[in-house]
Parts: sequence; C-alpha cells; structure tokens
Amino acid sequence: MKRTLNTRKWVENYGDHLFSLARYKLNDTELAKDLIQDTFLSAIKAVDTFRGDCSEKTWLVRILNNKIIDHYRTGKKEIPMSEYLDNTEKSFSDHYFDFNTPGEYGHHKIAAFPAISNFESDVSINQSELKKVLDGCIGKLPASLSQVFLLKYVSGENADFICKKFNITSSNYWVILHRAKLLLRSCIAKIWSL
Amino acid sequence: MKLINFTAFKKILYDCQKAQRLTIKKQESRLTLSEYLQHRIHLHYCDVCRKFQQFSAVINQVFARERKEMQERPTNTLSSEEKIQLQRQVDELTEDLKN
Repeated sequence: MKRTLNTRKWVENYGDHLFSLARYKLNDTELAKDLIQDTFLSAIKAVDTFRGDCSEKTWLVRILNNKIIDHYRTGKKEIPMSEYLDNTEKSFSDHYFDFNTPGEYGHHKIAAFPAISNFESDVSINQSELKKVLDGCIGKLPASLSQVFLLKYVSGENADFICKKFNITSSNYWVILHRAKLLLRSCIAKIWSL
Repeated sequence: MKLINFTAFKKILYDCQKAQRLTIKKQESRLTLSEYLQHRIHLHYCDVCRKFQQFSAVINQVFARERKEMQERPTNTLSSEEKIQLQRQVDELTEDLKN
C-alpha cells in the first residue's frame, strides 16, 4: 500500500525535531540547518520510495541520520580504520601498559592512571559541568576514534552497524572504544584535578 | 578441546589492557564464559581496572541520559523566518517534481 505524503506541513511538523537532533549530533548550528534542508529535499525526491511501513517522522529521521553519517565519513581524511589501529597500536599501548616486564605482560603503568576523585557514580557529579569537560575532551580525540565514539554515544548506533560502516571487526571495535575512553580518562583527570 | 585454558588465567592476572577491553565489551555485549571468568578474576585483584570500569560506566550513563532527553524534547528550534523559507523550498521542489 502506498501512502501519499503531505509535504506542505513538513517544516512546521518536523522542522524543530530534526533540527535539534542534527544540532545535537553535529554540535554545529549552521551545518545542522544545511543538513535538514538536504534531508527535506532528498525526501521529496524519494517520496515514491516511502512505503508507509513507518511514520513520516521516523522516515525523515532515518534520512537525516544517513546524511549525518555521510558527513562524518566524508569530512575526515580517509585512512582505513584497521590501518590506523595497526600503525598506532604500539605507541598507544606502551603509554598505558607495560609489555616489557617478564611475567607481567600488559600490566598498567601507574602514572598513566591517575585517580579521579568523585567519579565513582554519575549522581555525585554536576552534569552540566561534566558534559562541558567531556565535550572539550572529545574534541581532542584523534578523528578516527571520535567518529566511532560519536556514532555510538551520541547517535546511539549499535556495534554491528558501526562495524559495517567502517569495515572493521568487532574486536577492532572494542579496541577503538577502549582507546577513546582511556584518552578521555586522561583528559578528564587533568582538568578535574585543577 | 580444553574447556578452560589455565594459561589464560595466569596471564590475565597482570594483563590490564586485556581486562579493560573486556570491560568495554561486557558493558555493551556479552562475554564468553572464559572471558567472563578472566575478567572477574582480574578485577578482583586490580583496583585500577575496577576504577576504569566505574569510569566507563559513568560515561555510558551520561550519554544514555542525554540521548533520552533529546528524544523527549527538542532543545533547539528554528526561527519562524527560517521555517517559512525552508517550507518554501520544499513546496517549490514538490511542484517542480509534479510537472
């Protein structure tokens, strides 16, 4: 069954929702406006493919999400993710873990794990302050890591989806998230202790 | 096939890198039985990795809450001029495609 779409009310009905979603995921107001404009225009061209198996809103959100993902992918220089991981594996691991002491392979280097006080549960932390610190730290992550981190934590995509997008194995995926969190931890520890 | 690999258990006592990768995996997906036990043992002895696990959980919670709030209410809005202009573009293209 094919449904007709009433495009006359689109901006009024969905404009704010799509915009705030895009604004949140991209953290860039102008870019968010461009992408929702793109979304509406692509949607009109693709109206014939709307089968009515989901709501108009869901369909538009899906189109917007694809635009956002495309943006993240094309915005960065394209080093294949697995190559990036291989090239940086040793220097990264050596910073946080000790692979030279016999019998203690992989043990943490204590200096790389400074204590962060008040970080045991999120209730005890001032949310908006934490978010500000976090945003700053995410901005400092290497592009390869932050792409994956943002897709998972901001867009809420699942592991399968992300692995397919970047053509990586699931163990690569765990390594990427681990690295991102290690770097965030170091960054937060530095700022939090000031 | 051996059900449990004992060398793995000896190694895991020190291997924080592996234990933390398992923490990441555990918080999002499922560990195998062997992974689960290795992880448990390591964290039992290792304070640094317990702290890392807490840190990681806090990050997960912060973003989960943010996503939920985003779903519930739009926090940013377009101005009415922007809306009118955007709707005009939509209408024009719709007309173009009809003809």
